[in-house]
Amino acid sequence: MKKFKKLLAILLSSVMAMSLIACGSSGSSDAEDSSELEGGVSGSLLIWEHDYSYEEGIEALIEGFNELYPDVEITYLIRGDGDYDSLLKTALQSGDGPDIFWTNGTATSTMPDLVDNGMIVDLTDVVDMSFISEDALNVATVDEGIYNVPWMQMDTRTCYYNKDMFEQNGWEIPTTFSEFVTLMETIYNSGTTPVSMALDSWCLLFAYEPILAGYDHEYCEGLSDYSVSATDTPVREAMQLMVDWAEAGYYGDNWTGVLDSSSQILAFTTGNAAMFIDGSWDASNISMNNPGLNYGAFAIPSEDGTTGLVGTEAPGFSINTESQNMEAAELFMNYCASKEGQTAWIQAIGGVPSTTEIESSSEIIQEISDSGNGNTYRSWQNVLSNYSDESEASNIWADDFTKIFTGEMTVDELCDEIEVLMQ
Amino acid sequence: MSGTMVRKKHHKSRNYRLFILPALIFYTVFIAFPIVYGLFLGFTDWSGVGSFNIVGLKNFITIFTDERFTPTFFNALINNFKYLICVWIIITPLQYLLAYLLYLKIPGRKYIQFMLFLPQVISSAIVGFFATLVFDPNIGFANSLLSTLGLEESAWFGDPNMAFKLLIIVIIWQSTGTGIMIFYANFMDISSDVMEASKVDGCTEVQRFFHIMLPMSLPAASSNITMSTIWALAIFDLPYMLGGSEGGVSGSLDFDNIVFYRYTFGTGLNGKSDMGFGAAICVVMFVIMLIVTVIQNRVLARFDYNS
Amino acid sequence: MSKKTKKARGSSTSGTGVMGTGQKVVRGIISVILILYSFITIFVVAATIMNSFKTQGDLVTNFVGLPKEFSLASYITILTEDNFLLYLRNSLILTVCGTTGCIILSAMAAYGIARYSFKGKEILSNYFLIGMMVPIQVSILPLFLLLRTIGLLNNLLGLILVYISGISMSCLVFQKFFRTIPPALEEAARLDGCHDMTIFFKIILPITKPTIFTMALITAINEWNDFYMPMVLLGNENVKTLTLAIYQYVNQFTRYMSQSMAAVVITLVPVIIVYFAFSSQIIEGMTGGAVKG
Repeated sequence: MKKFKKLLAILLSSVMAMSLIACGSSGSSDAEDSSELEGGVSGSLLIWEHDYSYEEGIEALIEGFNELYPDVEITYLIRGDGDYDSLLKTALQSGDGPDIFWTNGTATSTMPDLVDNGMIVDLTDVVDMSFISEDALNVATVDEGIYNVPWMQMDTRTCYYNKDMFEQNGWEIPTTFSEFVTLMETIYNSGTTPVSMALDSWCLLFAYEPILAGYDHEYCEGLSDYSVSATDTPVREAMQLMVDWAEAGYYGDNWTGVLDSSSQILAFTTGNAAMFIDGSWDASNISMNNPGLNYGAFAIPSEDGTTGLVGTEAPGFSINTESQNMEAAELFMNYCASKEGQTAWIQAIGGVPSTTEIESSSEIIQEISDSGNGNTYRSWQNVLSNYSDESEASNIWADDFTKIFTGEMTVDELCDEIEVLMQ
Repeated sequence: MSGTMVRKKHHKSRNYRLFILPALIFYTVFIAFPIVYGLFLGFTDWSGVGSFNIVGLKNFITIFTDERFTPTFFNALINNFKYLICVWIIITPLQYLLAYLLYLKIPGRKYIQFMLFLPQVISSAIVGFFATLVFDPNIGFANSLLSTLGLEESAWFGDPNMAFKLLIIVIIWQSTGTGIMIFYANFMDISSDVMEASKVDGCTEVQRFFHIMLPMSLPAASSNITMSTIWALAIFDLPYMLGGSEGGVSGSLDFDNIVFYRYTFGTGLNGKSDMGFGAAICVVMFVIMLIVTVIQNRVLARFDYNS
Repeated sequence: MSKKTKKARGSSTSGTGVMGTGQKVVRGIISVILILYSFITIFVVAATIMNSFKTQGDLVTNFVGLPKEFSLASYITILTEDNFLLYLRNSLILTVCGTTGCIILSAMAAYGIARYSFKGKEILSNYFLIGMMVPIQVSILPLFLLLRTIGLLNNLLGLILVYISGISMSCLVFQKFFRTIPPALEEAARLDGCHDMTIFFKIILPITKPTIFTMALITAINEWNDFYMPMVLLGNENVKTLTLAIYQYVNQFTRYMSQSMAAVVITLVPVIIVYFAFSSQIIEGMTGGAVKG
């Protein structure tokens, strides 16, 4: 028994020693962090982003910010890989969160949830939002408070096409919806896959929304103030069209084996598919994947030739209420909201600017921007999310959208399911 | 042989504490406590941030009565058990056989041993990447090969009838190594006297296998089966890498841990998370595993030396 | 029995004298089948190596064919832009410390359970299994909080402690193995007045070398390949592990296709080297170990 106690004592003391060593080391790093105010603002900030494709954006922001405040040391971490929300919540919950972090605004329940728990700073009186439009601020606003600095940029969808293939085969960019349908048929008959598609709710959505806009643009205009039902006839008919195209082989014979957006992009960049309907944010991925690909973009036109861009404003960063360096964090957010900050970010990541004051960073972005002729439509999924209890309709849609393509459900069954949940 | 099988009574001494205590302390602090706390959340409505309320059995009632969730859960559970049956009747016997072949020193043994174990050292993150190289319908090698041969191309993991079988094949390729190694090490531990003696006695290889190897390697088999069973019910990495968080086409690659993951952390952009409900799913799975393991241990104990 | 006589006997019996030609043919056929099977692995690894030498543009348009030009660009990018040596060091520290600690703790615990009789033995043995039954995602938040409380978050030592504590699998395997060892050896040593600890470290561990090495290898592989816990518990660049770095590359596959290929090749190399180092150890342990019974 004596030996047992002795062993226990040794064990416990060694555990304590280890934790002391560790505490010591972490303590010293804390000391480094604490800011020594000598004139201007200094100290350090940690930023979290959720996606690697925005890395250039953060770097550009930091560079621009450091020109104004050289003493603030900013580090960033990209915590992507699909676990961003849970990593963020875990860190915030334990009080170990970053000073500044990306949230998806009101598009998902994460930001409102964090706001409810007092984890995000209300920026209403802190940040000068004069450059940001009312529309953009919508994605940042919860109960009259502004909790996020959105980007003056549209997360829009477009139809990319392989210019070389189009030229070689004499295919023309469609000007009406029926021309678009005929184009797919022509391409299919020539032995090429017309459209690259993936069996994933979101990938399908980013194709569905512009198709819906082309199918019935008047309906889509009604979505902006929710004056039309989210499961009206055009919604059902456009969905059915997509299902019919899948069955006709327009997405390739084995497209159900394409399960995510990266494989979907590959089918386009490798020249397997002539077109690719997807988000504007993937332009940089296409260019990085195949630097030699000669491609363009058009908006799917409606029967009378009207075009427009479907999209949502892009949410940006928020401040952690427990940030140790609030002064620097607020300055950084003000920089983000300024024209310089907005320009730096949007041009670095190749976003589609939603204001004429910012120039597009590349030809393809300009092309996407121009293709809408100034018309914008609200995202259908955004309506589902905003006009149902706890975004339930959107969750149901995300669960079941692929089922109409695998034959587990009919379009009407899906739409009826959604209809019940809408307000 | 019988001499070595006779067991003396277990040693009675308090010294066992010296052996068990360090592991017990570490394990309790860093493994058991977090798990128990995590499972406790199954009785709450915690969303992942902020405070929570204890809601009793509400989450469990949802699991078994919700018209949307229950079919998903049971579809995944059936996949888990289908996989478990594959473990029992295909994977474990195969591991055993391969280990025995290595033990027999078949020609090229060292090379074969290395190649059987190599996929094991490849992280499942990389296996997912390899799967894209091979099975992607557009750029993968598998379809290039089929079209070169003039055969019809396939959707591979996109075909709900094929996805599960393909998963089993990938699992056999990637993760049989551990079991083979454990069996093999166990064969090596079997006294070579016994084997040599049997050779002199003129036993055939088949006789030796059934009368000596099989009974003597049952302890290793039982630990292997216990592990594989738990892993079968807790499988996550490979189907997640191959079929994504939605559980593949028509739920063909859906397993309960993936359901847990999907409902706890929300899928991708959806971002809806529900820690309490997710933890409740784990509690149910935990109970199922416990029942299966206890029954299995009772059965396996008959084959142990102790009894 | 000494090593010598064992070898001598082995050579006299395992020759063609006993084994018939039929058996030889069967063994040969099995070998051929397994060697053919191994070509799958070779093919996948070789295709990755081949593709890692292509330029990005070449890779996308010419995925299946041979490289048009031999390029080391992706390796250079990875090795210069990323801190791969640091990641390698971190991975090595984690794996070596975690495995050593885990194997020692689990072997001791398994010995205690297998060799002594005491109340609650079966419960304890099942209690140690729980670690395998619950997905790590359930316990990650409490673990995060725990490590933060003791100041070991974003610190290699913190994760090492977690790895050391993950004794479930090895403890189970060791328990079954220790039961197969005849107790005569220990009885003799005990009569000589050896302490239980001495018996364990001086007698039991040496004769179970093959199993110890095997389990060490398996544990090491699992820890080396783990990316989830490093991702959550080690959130700083200076403690990033190699597997996590690769995971992040593979996740951006479309952007960095050729670099992903090179990154995969780079992680496989140390693993293969370690495997060879270990496998000779195992074989040595098997042939050089004391004989029981």
